Amino acid sequence: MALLEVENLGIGFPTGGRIVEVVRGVSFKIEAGESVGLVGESGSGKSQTALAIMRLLREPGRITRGAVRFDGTDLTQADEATMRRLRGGAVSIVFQDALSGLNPVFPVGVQLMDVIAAHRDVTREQARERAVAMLNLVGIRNAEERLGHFPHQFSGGMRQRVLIAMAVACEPKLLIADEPTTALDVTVQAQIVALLRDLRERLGLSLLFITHNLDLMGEICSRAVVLYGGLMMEDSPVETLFTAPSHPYSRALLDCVPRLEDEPGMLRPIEGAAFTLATAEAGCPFAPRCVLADARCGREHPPETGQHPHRIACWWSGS
Amino acid sequence: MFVILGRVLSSLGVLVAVSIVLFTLVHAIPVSPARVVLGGDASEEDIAEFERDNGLDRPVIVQYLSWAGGVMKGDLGRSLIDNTVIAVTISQTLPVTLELVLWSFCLALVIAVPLGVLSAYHEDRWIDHLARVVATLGVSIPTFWLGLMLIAWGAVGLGWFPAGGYVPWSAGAKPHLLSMTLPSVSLGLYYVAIISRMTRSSVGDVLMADHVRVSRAMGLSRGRILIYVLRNALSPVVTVAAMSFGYMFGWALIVEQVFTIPGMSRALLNAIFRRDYLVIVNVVLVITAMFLVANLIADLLYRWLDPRTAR
Amino acid sequence: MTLSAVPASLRLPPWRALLLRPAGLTGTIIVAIVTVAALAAPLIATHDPIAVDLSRKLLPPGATHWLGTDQTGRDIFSRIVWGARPSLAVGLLAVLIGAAGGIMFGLTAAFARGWWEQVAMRIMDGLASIPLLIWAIAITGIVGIGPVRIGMWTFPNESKLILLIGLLYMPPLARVTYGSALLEVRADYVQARRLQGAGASAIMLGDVLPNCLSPVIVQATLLIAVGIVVEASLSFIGLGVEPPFPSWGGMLADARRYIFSGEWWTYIFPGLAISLTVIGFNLLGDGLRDILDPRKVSGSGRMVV
Repeated sequence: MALLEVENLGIGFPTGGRIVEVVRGVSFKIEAGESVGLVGESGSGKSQTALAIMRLLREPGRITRGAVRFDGTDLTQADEATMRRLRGGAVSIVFQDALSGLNPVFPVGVQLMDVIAAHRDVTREQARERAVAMLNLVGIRNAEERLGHFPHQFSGGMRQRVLIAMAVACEPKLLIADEPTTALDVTVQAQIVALLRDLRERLGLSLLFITHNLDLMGEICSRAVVLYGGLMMEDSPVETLFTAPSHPYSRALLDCVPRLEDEPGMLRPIEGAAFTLATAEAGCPFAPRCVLADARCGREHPPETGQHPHRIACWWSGS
Repeated sequence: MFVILGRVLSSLGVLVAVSIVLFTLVHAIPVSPARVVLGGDASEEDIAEFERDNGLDRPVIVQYLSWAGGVMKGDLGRSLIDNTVIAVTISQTLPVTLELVLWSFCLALVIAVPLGVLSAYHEDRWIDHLARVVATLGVSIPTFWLGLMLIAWGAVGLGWFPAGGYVPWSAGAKPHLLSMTLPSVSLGLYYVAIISRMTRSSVGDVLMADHVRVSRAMGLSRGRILIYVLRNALSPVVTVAAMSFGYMFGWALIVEQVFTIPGMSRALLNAIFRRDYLVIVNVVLVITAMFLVANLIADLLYRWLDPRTAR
Repeated sequence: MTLSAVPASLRLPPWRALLLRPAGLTGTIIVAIVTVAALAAPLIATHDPIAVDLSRKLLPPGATHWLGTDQTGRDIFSRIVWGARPSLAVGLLAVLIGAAGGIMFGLTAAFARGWWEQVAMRIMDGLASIPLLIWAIAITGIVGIGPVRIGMWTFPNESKLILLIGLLYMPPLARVTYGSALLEVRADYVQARRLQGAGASAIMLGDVLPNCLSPVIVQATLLIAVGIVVEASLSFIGLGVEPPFPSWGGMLADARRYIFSGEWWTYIFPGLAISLTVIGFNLLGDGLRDILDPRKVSGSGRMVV
């Protein structure tokens, strides 16, 4: 049994009397110890998927269909108390808002110790020791002293380290990292990714790494789920995706990654207008921009073909 | 530390400026205070004599300095009309006004903060709509009419409360508290509105913050998250509350008139109708000082509550 | 969806948007009624508001006296209609003074920057540290109750109130103007106008001011409500409008003793008149804020008094 199984997940927002789905039946799974990337442009539904797994969708967003099975429990059906126990415990998350993710009026030590105390039966002293150990683990020096500091006394990268320390303080089985480096400088980005990779090995975490940056994903993930317009396009081992992408969208996405031989500053955008929900139709969401698309692509959504670990949703994948 | 010192000094500066403005105003009026005190048919000699006796013939600046020097020593001067010691008048009436303000202040906080928090947590639900109605009525119904209506309802109609007057503590706690209830409610409602709206918008802003989502994602309990949110939302609420405390002294004068409470309003209005300048100047100065102190406390609390400015 | 996402062609004109909201509509109707009452008081009032007729004193509401009569037989309905005049006069004139001064300080401070910015905003801070109500009482107390004669003109007692309230309204209005003017001054079109060689005052009054007016209008509407309450409160303790001229606060001062004897119409109706008028201006201000000032430059709070 996989650690996390997302099955036919739908996420909708009520708009003008009807519910508009931003995620329209996405399925994928993560085995224990596996590291999976969830890749897509903004608006593809990847962050909403992460929030739905944690059951943290912003009002009035809601899960419209499907199941999220974690360790055999369907989280879409779990009550608030169960979710509270799981969040920060067995399933944890690091968000992209590294700069504003810590409460500005409490010392980071208090925030870290509160997370530990919420999940572990510990004394104040034990919580404190654990907090120091966690700060050490994520590479913050002078941890004892830093516990008493406020978030504004930390740099952006350091704040994200503290948030990661909070997220892994109770040894989660699954860590979701939702674009954890977006708010940070490029050099700091690499450090954070290295930290995550290091933690994964040391703590034996499974990782769901959400990003639009294929390079970063390649460094840390063994498998990638590509989303577009709220639908899965391709689910593939990372090497296969990088060397022989099957889905036209995956190919287009890889073409966008700047290469060394490119002139500096040159970008290769995907042709056509990005997907918007307003234009969502029954067919493949990528059809309007796809070089292979024909009438059927615009009319009917392609079924998934292939078996885990390599699934594709494209009418042209067989040919 | 220097910031605090600076704020204290600037408050003192405002107070001095205010006293100068008040004094100048008194002396800018073409009619001599002596004429007002002695009446229209007093002879020129009487006026001159009165002015000499009370030092009114000296230049304004000398009068101001001698009065200000007295204030430093706690001597606010004497009434020109009945020669009572003004410091005594104020020390007898200020505690009553202060008590009224304190009760109203506590009442306003106890109602407004939970109301604001609840309506922020339940945006657009019934409690939020109720809070909005309370706030609109609170800022719209004039304090004195609210007082009259409360007398009609609670004193004349139900007979639970006295219709006015002040029962001192010495006459028993219950009658004392009953006599303060309606006045405190009338004075407090406006500030319930102001403080609850500020609480709602401040808590609402914090609830949208990224760090609250992180707290929820880390599985913290609702109670713990509430504490996190409140601590963050506190600064603007504390500022408005402290300033409200200062403003309450002004409306307390009106409420005292409605409920015939022998606070500073009686001293002030008596002085106004008798044109007893020095009493007016001093009472206004004392209330302005209260207001400035409240503002100062608001400012200091704000700095102290925000770790980014605290150290 | 944010407002800016709506194409301009689909946006309603402001006055229609205002009238489509229950709060805005209610506010507009109340303000319109009060304004008409004040302007057309001689036409609307059924009786002379100061004519004493002791034979008709304390009559309950009825066919001739719709809202009853007071202790000297004066018609309460007519007095309430006439009483709208001093209320609105104080509310509106004080705001006009405050807006004139506040806009001048706020706009020039945002424009000049440097020392004048510091000085102007310090002056506003100083004025803001003066408690309005107690000073309204103090000014009347020191200058004395009664009309002010300057040359051939005579101003009623409440003109002192108007001046003082107007002065103390300057800080909030100056801050709102300053806040939005700062945003405008940095905007590209102002730079473009500068490059075209337009003069400072032309840009300030012709380009920047019109774009800053929305939040000022919102604040000003809310401040009218404050002025009306202050006028009524001072008239109630005898420092505002002088009897026998009708004012809502003064009518309530006359009516206090009838709380005990049961002539409810004497103190219910004038109080309702004040409260509804103030509610009207507050609702109108909130409604205007929603449609005119989505950025909330005018602040989420209102001036506390």
